[in-house]
Amino acid sequence: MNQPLVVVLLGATAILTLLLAVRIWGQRQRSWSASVAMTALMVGVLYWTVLYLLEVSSVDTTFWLAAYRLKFVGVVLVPVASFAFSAAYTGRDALLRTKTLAMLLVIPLLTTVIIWTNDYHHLMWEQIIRTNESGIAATTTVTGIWFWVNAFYAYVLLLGGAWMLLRQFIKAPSTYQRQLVALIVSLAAPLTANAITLFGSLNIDLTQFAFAITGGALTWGMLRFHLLDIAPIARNVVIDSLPDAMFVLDQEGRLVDLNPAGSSLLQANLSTLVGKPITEVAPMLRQRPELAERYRANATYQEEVTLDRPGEPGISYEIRISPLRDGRGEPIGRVVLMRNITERKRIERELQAQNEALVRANAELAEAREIAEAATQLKNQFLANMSHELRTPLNAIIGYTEIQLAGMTGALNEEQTRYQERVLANSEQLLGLINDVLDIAKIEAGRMNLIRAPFALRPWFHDLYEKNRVLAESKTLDFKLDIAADLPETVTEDAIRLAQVVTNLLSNAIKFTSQGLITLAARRNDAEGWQIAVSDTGIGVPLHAHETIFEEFRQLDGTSSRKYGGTGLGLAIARRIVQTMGGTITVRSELGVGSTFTVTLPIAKLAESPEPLAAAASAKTNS
Amino acid sequence: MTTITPDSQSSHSPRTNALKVAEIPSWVVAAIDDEMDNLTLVTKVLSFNGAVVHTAVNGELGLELIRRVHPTLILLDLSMPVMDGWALIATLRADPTFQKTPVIALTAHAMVGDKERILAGGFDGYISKPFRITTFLGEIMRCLGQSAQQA
Repeated sequence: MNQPLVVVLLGATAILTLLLAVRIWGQRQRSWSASVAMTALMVGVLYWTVLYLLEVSSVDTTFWLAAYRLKFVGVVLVPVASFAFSAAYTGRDALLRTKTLAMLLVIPLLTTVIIWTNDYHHLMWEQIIRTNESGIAATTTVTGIWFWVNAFYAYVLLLGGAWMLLRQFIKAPSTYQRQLVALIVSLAAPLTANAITLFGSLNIDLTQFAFAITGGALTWGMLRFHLLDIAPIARNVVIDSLPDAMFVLDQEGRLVDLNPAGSSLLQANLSTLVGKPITEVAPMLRQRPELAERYRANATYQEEVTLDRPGEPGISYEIRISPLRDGRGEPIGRVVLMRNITERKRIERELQAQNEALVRANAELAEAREIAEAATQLKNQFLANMSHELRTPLNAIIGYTEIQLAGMTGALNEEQTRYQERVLANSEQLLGLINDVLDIAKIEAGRMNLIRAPFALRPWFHDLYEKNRVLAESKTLDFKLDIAADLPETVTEDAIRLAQVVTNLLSNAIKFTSQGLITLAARRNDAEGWQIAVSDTGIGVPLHAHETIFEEFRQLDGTSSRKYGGTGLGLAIARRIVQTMGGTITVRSELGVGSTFTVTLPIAKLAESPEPLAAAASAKTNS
Repeated sequence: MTTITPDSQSSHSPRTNALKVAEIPSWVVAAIDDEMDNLTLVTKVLSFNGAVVHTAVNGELGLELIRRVHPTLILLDLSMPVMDGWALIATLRADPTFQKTPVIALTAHAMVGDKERILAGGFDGYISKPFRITTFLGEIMRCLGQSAQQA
């Protein structure tokens, strides 16, 4: 080797380490501490190389010695940086605390001081000579005691770093192993070179060139295997802090690796377990031999099992088994994850119990409702029977009276006729009372369930009209039906109950009108509702009674029930029904002129009907 | 006297062509009810107007009667011992001979919804008790008219 070659090699090494330092520094976001340590290592090597270059190429003796001395700042830093990198890369964060690093830097600092004060104590070298054998400039020293202290320290650090990487290499999956090969080569090269330099007879420091190998290996590792990717570190951290027990098994079911949760589960550590069949080291698998059999398969597998641990019976685990494959997809082992799901199971059981309690409570509610419904049904049946049993004798009373009044049993004298008419009138009042009381009873019993269904509005009105026409005719009243064209064809409402309301209003109108006109009208009110109005030209309702007539058992005064009959329940029932339908019933009246009762129902009950009927139905009868 | 006018309703009712108020003397009516008073009343009113009225006090005897006299109109109570009106109407509607015979329910069941149940049960009409002598024939014609309209 000649001088220019040495210079070129050193230059190349310097450039390479510079590039690596920049590149690695640029990657520091991915894994901070490893990148910083590696950058420090590269900068140290760069510095070392540059200063060595100056040392070998200097002509001036003072300059040469200064370069030699300055060089050592790099020399002492490199092993520390290398050690820190190994620690960072293998996730040993404990070694990277400021205090630890400061302690690691004590000896390098002392070395530096000793080098600059060597003239006073000669601890580093006793003699230093610049040689120039076969054209190569070199520095030869008669070494002092501290030189060996420093060298030993450097070796300890480098070997310690290598040991950490080697351990990692053994544990790492194959994907990361080549990465680690690159790292180990990069660290082993300067060690070897330095050893040759120290103990060999060469007068040139080979360590520099070995660092070129370091740089090359690192570059290769970085480009090819993403050397500084966070994955290996993160992977370790994650797996070590995983609460799930993790076991790595080889193809034969022997334990290869496990995490702290795994060793806690097996109550032993990795070193005593590695290489042993899992069936042997896991007592819970001895408990359940069929599980081990089941887990022999390579396929992905998942199930929940309950196992007993000493002192802790009935621990539930979710076991997940995934196959491990090498780069060619060949199975090489399995990863078994065991998650303690006892707590989850307990919560699930509690939820289940709560669910069951809810179901039971629901069933009890349903039963209570059934009982209530049965009671209502009984009440309803009783009302129906009451109605039937009250009507049957009334039928006979009214029938016989009418037959006699009709002269079917022969002529009655005036007094007989008058009395029979009173029997009839009282029977009618009794009948009305029965009807209304039963209706109120039904409403009070909550049995007035509206049966809402769409029905054709116009035929419904015509039917009502026809039914009441006879009564109006018997009093020689005009009776008019007026349905507005803007009403739809069909309405969704309880047609029977609504008919009951309108019939009541019509019979009142006819009852309290001695001459003139009864009108049954229907129209759209506004956007909110529609209206049915029953108007008469009867006696009218005084203002003070406009509200009270809708209350139960009210009539205008005590005498009117004598004169006009009725129980005073009709309007109360009508109002209850209309209110149940979500509507209102009002009266507008003038004494002696007439009354208009208006039922307003929500428009929502009107079915959508785009085409309004053109013809307003209208009918009129005279008698 | 009852004032029965051959009313305008009959004009829109095809079924009433077979039964005209003016032809009451040609009617053969079967009245079936466990209430003797009601049978007396119905008989009185209809026979006063010229109809022939046969009576029976329960559904079973009523069926016998119907098969014997082939009535032109049946007035049928619902609640009766032995065989009620519901069973009888079902039997009649299943029998080709009486499938079309007009049957009117004459009942004290007058709660809301009863009428609909009755008409759905195969009856041609419904008159609630207490019925009115003065309007009885009119009611019958109205029932038949309605029934014919619906048919």
